[in-house]
Amino acid sequence: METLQFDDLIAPADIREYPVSLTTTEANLTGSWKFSRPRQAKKTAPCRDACPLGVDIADWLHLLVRGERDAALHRLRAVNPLPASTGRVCPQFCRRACTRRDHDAAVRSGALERYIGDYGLGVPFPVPASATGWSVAVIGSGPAGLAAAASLAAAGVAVTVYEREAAPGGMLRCGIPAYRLPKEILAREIDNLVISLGIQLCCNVPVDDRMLAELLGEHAFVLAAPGLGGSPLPAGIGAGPGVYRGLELLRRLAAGEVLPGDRFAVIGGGNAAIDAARSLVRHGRQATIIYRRGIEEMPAYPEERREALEEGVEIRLGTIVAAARGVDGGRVELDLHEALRAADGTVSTGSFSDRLTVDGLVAAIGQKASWQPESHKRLLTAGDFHHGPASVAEALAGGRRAALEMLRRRGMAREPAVGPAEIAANPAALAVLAPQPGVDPPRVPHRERRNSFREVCGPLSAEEALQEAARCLRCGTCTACGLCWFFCPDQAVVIDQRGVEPVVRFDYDHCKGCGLCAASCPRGVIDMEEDS
Amino acid sequence: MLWNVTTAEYLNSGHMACPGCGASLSMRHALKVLGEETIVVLPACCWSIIAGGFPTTALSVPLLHVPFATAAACASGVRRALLSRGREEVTVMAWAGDGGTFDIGLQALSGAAERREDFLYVCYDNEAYMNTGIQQSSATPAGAWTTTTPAGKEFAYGKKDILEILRAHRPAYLVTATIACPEDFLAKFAAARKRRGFRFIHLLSPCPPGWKIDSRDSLAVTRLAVDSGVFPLVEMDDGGRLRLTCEPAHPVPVADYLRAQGRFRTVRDEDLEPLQRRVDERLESFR
Amino acid sequence: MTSQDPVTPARHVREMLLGSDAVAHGVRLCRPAVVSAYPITPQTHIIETLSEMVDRGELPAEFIKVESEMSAIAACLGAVSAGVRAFTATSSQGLAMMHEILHWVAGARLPLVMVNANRALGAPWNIWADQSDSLSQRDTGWLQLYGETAQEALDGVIIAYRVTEALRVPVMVMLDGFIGSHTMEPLFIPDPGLVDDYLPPYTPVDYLDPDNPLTLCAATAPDSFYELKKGHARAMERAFDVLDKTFAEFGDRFGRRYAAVETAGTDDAEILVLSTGALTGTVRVALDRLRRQGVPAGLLKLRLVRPFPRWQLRHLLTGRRRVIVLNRAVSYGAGGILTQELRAACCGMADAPAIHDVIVSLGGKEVYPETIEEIVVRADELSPDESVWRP
Repeated sequence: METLQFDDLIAPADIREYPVSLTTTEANLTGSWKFSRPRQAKKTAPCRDACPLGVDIADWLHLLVRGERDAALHRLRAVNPLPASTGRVCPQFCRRACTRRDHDAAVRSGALERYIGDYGLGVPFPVPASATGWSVAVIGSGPAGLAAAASLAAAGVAVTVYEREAAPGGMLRCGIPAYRLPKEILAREIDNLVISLGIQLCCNVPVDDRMLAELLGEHAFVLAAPGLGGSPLPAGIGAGPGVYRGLELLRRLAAGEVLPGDRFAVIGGGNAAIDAARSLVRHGRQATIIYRRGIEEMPAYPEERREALEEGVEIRLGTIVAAARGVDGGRVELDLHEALRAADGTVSTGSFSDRLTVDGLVAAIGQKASWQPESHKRLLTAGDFHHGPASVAEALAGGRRAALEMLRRRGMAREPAVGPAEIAANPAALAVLAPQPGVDPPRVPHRERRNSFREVCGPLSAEEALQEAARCLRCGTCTACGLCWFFCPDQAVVIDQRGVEPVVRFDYDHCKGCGLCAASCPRGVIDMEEDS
Repeated sequence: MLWNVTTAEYLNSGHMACPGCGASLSMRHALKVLGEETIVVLPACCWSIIAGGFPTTALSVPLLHVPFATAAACASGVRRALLSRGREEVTVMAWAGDGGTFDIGLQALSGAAERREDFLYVCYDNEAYMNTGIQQSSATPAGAWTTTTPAGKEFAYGKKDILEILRAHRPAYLVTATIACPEDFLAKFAAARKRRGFRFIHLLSPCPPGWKIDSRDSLAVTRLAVDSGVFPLVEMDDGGRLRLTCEPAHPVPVADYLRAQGRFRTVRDEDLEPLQRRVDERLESFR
Repeated sequence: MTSQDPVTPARHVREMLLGSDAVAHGVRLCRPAVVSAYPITPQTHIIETLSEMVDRGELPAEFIKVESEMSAIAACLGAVSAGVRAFTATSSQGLAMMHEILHWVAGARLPLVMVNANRALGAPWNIWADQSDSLSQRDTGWLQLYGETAQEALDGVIIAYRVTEALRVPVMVMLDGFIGSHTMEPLFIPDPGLVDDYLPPYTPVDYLDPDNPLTLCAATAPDSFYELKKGHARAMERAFDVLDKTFAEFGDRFGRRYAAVETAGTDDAEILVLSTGALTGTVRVALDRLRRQGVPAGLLKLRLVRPFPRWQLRHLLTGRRRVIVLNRAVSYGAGGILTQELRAACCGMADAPAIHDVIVSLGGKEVYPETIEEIVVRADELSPDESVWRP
């Protein structure tokens, strides 16, 4: 009230002899009350931050929603050249970080990636930049090698990829069963990649130290991304009939080999163990996973774990296989012991608990590198070979990082792979919006899954994909959704509709600095800063 | 625009509400739904100040300031005058605080409800006499600190059940709402606009200084009132029963609501269980 | 009404009616759109009759039967703010209950007319004639008109609407409880057409209208508040002139002439008796008798208490020996209210007469002509410094 005196502000004509008010309070510049003021800042979406590859998911989804499907595809493939494959097998760290996760459901970025990737199987990559005149050799055609090859080839670098197996794909091909990633999809995706980007692919060519030296002589850089070798057997378990390593088992099953016996035990808690068990089930075998810790501690993806249980895989937790012996009939006898947990979380072998006789024992535990090339300043490494076993996303990221490093060294700096440093996060603001959980893609019922390597997860339809993509909030980017405007008690948020895209502005003359705009922004793009 | 809210504004900026005031935001959206053919009747309450000093006004619809106890009576007079002027389509809205509704204005409110006066009465309840500096009203909940309940309002006296009082009058429309749950709020004002007869909307309206909360948390805390069941969103059905219009979206214990506010600082942990039980029973009665 | 017989008006109905009914007819002729009231003795007949008129369609008004006097006046506040003519009536405790809203209506500068049937205020309970109720409201900013007869009440309502709509100051029209409200009197009820000519349909300005939105009675800072109150005070000053003209025009059209202060036998009077309301009838009888006994006494009948007609009274008091003020309301510790008013009006008057403060009746205590005669005859013995209470 102190701000209102009779003589200021008001036109004399508005003064009546009676207590009649006609003048708007806008004359009161209540902005002078504030101690803090809202500021809009572009930020990085939490999903992008969580993605090892730094894919700007919101960005390509937005293009998809706007009907620009090709643009969306190319935007995504510029960072991740294998979306049809990763859309099926990526652990989706992005979904765990999604702002919507606890409100309704995280945006199904994997299913969307698969949708756009499948579309992209028939869409060539953009024509590469003009030739740079230098070349790179890539050892290994797994995700790391292919990611590097794609980035380099797109930049006009001549790339030759050497693969020791008969077909490209690395772990994507031999480590991931067909019910998760059909071989045909992988093959088509890699074909499209190498053909449209003009990458030389040489299969059945293992690289040894001597050849590496030759390659270093011929190329500006060599990238070693050959993956890892076989896994060691756990202590107390010797090689022998009926004892398999995880990857070896998968490879032999994929090759159509019929393994003797009905009942198999799988040691391990990672994806390799789950894959082995599920593959065995599909071959009509009984599979028991034996894991030393609790179910929540299993490194395998929760969805895989759930599907395995649905399909009839048995999981024995808190159990250690202390010894295994070959017995009559090619069978294997296992001594099962309790796992003892120390206060620091480490596990040691406790007392004997049970004896189990199986027809086969699979050791699906960590792989080790089988090659140690001499270091060289033009030899870079990537993928599992570089950092040990990790996800496909991390492998792709490593390959891409290595490629960017090569380009940088040749004076061809590329755009940074990450967004602004600040991460946008304000999931509490979603509470005012009605939940919109969307639809999960169809899945083959578990009864049908048990005898088939048919892909478990089905695709999203085009319509479903658009609806799902539209659920993406585009965290870190103002979309002029209007929530801040709605919740401003002082009409100090103005949505300016004059441009192509609406823009949010603040009326600092009237903003009292309450902060409700910042609190109400689910995209987290409004910060309150001290008002000077 | 979001939730089909009109871009037309009937609340002017430069009004005198405290930062983060729920009452000003509620008025803004109530008027957006009711539209320009609305006359507001305003007894003494925070809004007497919010509305701006002579010769300015924060509303671009007609507004009549009236004495504390008279909102419902004055609104009756306005409504009858409009009838005689042939302006039946105009909505008359009495807009009063909890003091002007639960306490000093209750008699006039009861009278108007009994006469089936054709207007909308909105109580924006911030649960104390905030305009005079946070003194307890009969809408102040048990355990709440005010300047006249320095140790917290005694548990023997809960908040007066204004809904039951109104329900006994069988109004044409009776609901609770809060701007912290906007879709429900907007739908209820839209429904109230269409009805004829005596209509009552009870709004829970956060007051950052009176509740001792940060202004930017005012709506989040109010949502906790809904999610904890302390302030259920209900409407009276045709049979005269109060029913939930929204189940708490993310149920939380009453403690979460109380502990989010400085005004409940004196509530002891052992007081929480009986409070929780009271809230649960009441919530269940609306299912 | 001046002491001479009314000039026969052009068109009227002559009927024997209760004072309360007279008020109701006055209201009906003014065509308010909204009537709002709460029953209290002795006002009840007014609203009963109005209810019947509304029921029969003779008065096409919205009748709001509220739950208290505060709501009665508040509903009128709302109605007038929304641009229509409104009416309410009350008495005593009811008027006291309206107190806060009386200030509001006046401060809002709303044209409103109410009738108050003068009655004592408790405690203890008493329902009889007394002016404590209305005189306690003299500072609320309303114009106050007191009537001697039911005819004055009826005519007063019609005149009041003209005045209130011209000045935007609300008007309270008083008649005495029971003596005025519950006794029968032959009345002239004017022809509706005649009243319509005198009081055209209400044309509101600055009212609640969605087509021209505005805010009424917003909180006001000190300087503005002072200016608004100054405006109200000035409107009260203009009221004398407006009232004179309105009375004059009423006289021309209806044949009954009124004034803010009416007199009888004052030309050569040394002693004046100041009276209000129905008591004046008794005073007239007493003064006639005194005149016959050779006592030079005359009557001052005060119709207007707010604004207080101080210049007119000073003029009438010039050259008199004494004035006896008959009070029916006391400001405890300060004497009769009208006496204080008159003394304040005469303050600084060079040849002011002695002013005698007589508390002649409270709570309906009977006043006989002899009571008045005795006071006048023994006036010389009265100290002008003390209030006179009857033995």
